[in-house]
Amino acid sequence: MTELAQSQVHAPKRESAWTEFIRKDDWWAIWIGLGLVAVAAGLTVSGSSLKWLAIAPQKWKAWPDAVAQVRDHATQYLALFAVWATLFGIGVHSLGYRLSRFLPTFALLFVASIGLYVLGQWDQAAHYNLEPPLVALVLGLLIANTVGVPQWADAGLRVELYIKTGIVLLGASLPLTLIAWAGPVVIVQAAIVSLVTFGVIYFTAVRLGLDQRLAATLGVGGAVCGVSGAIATAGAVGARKQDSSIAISLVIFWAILAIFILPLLARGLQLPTGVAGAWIGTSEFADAAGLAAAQAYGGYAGHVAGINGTPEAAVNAFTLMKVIGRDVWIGVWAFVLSIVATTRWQSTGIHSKPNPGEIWRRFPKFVLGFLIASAIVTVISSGYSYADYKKVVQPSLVAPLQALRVWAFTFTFLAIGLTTRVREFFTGGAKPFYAFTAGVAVNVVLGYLLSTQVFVGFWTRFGQ
Amino acid sequence: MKVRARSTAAVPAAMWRGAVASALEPSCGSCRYFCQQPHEIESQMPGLRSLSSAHASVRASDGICRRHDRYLAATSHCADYQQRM
Repeated sequence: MTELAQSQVHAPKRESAWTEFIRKDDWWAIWIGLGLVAVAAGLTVSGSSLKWLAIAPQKWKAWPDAVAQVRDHATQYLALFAVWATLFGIGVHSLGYRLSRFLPTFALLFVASIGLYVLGQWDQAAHYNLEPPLVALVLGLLIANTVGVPQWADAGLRVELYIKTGIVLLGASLPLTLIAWAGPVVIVQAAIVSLVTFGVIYFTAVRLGLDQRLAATLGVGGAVCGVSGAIATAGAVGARKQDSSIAISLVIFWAILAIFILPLLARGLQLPTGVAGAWIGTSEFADAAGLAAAQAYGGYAGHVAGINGTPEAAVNAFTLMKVIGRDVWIGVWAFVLSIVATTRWQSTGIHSKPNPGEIWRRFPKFVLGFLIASAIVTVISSGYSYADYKKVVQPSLVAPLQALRVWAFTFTFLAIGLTTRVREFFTGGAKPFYAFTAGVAVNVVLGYLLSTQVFVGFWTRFGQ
Repeated sequence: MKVRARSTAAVPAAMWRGAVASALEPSCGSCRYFCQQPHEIESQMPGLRSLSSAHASVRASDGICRRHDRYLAATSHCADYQQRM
């Protein structure tokens, strides 16, 4: 069989470059997110706005007021549902899911999101710790781990599609100049934490006798990009399938815990929102989980005594740290580790050829959408004076896109809980857990020191 | 198992040879044991869809080798290759 196989000439199966644009959720996040930004920009330039569609509940004190709000704006909520369902429906269908399964799930997700968004606008929400991201997560976890969620509902619970779309929309509220200004600090802070955390996890795992491929998969999962980092590394180094599953379960376990623990610690320490966002961005393990924590913490601004800064600062600082500082380097990690695996580690009998092209192939493309959205709004804003920006661009362009982003994030937070099964944690034994946990401890402490001591001046100014 | 330890200086040359050879050699991407279907990958790796996705760009065209029970790049290859029909 072997001789026969080796004597034959077969090109590896490669899909065309165009297929990538409709088969990856990164690209769908770009199409949907940038499409909304382009429409909003076009309407603003022509003197109109997307704000009728981008409905967002207002602050309320008594329950009947909240109900009346939703009833009075029912048409707008229906229109918003139709737009989201159409856009995400096209994307999900292109990814290979049936619309007949997506639509009912997404309808329920949307209704639950209205409830969570409205709850978050209650004037006592922060007092009772009812931050929408945390409530969404708990609600989702409770449902998924008690009554259960049918498998067909997967079509409507696409965490990555929703979070990436939200991040692309987030780019519209971050000027390109701010990203460039923060870039060096973000990259230095993220590089320090990533290298140290990877080193701690990798060498602890090897010291405990674990396979180098598992150690590397765990290391990148903890240091760079969570589950995405783990699977990119597993593929690059040729890890056992079981190794990938172990890393995934450990990342999810700690990422979910960190969603609750990091905002709680930051609240106890009364950190400004920009500083807390940077810490969460440095020490959380996954984009979706970190955004839940950062958005929850941002919600404390103005509601919890002693917490300074704007709500936006927590989410913005998190996104820069996590996305620009850590996520974009995933291809480089995978490429370097594939070289090490090929040249230094014990052979598995499976051969691979490290190729620098992997850096681009594994690049999280949605980051391009985030930067383009930022560039579009920056260019449009540059044509206005500061007074006109506050009067025209902010309410007509930026605010509606921020509202749409909050919707996308709310879908995400619910979907995380609804797709997480607690019984899937701890499938790999004690040693991987110890190694990963050692990295978590170092990561959290180092992230805290860098955000609150070394770069505290920068992150405090960032949040103002 | 025998440990493969090549000089790192040989890596660029090996990479170049690999890039040229990848179009000629049978590789996982066309092997019958190799599964690249995102739905299948998500079902075999519980938790993947919670905080990531098999449709993500970072996955590139990696997949699961049913023969070796490994998660591999599509450009990998081994002696057990069998062309997908």
